[in-house]
Amino acid sequence: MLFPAAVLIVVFLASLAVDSSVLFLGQRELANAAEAAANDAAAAVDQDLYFGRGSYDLQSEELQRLATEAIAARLDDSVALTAVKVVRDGPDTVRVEIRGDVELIFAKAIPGVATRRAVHASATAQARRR
Amino acid sequence: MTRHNRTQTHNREAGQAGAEILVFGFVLLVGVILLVANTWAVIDAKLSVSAASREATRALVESDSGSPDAAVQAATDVMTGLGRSTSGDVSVDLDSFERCARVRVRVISTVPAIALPRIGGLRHAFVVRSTHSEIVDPFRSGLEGDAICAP
Repeated sequence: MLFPAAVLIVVFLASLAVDSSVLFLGQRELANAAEAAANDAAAAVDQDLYFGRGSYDLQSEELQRLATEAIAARLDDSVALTAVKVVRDGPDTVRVEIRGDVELIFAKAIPGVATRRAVHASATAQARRR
Repeated sequence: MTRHNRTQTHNREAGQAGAEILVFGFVLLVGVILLVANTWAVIDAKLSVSAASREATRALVESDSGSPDAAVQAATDVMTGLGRSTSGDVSVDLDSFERCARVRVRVISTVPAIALPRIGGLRHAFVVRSTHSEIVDPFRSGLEGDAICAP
């Protein structure tokens, strides 16, 4: 009786390790996408203000477009996007928040356990002179 | 069969079952360890190709010429530094090198299934890929054109 229980525990732990890895990779993918999107969105500086007064003012519509394009250009199919939020945190700062679902591999074999897990990531970028 | 003989047979069978359980347990443990090690190899490869694609994109958007060679070289350097081989699987997607142009670099690496020292891996391999995308800085110097990222 002890050995079958040990086998089950070992198999369960192995499947847990694999599913955790898939989740970790999905989270990293989302974090990288958020960073890239924030980085690109920080280029949406108002040209007139920048060349006129030398100050930064990020344009909200342009932020959204650049961030969405950046995410679409790099995200692979390991994460299913559920929400993208681009927030103008200040005149020169943008914050990108992304939510997505990661599909697990071994969780499908266990009845009653969710086969998808939600992950989220956020990144902030600031426009400034180098 | 006497009572003494029956007891001896029972003990032999119990010993046989114990040995079988030990062998099965050992095989199971090795299999699980290989599975976990292989999973880690895939994670490590994914982190490597992510870093390589990011550095390659960065190298290209910061370069003066916009040559894809800069991206390929940067990706190769990163992968070599991490002890991996790209085997030429670096693809660069760039229409024209100008301000606000989108640069996309994809790096692909393969991880052999169940790689063992001196034996190698099985024929089946996991393909690990990462794509990074970035726009050329609209305010950078050295390029012609306006600094407007028009839709």
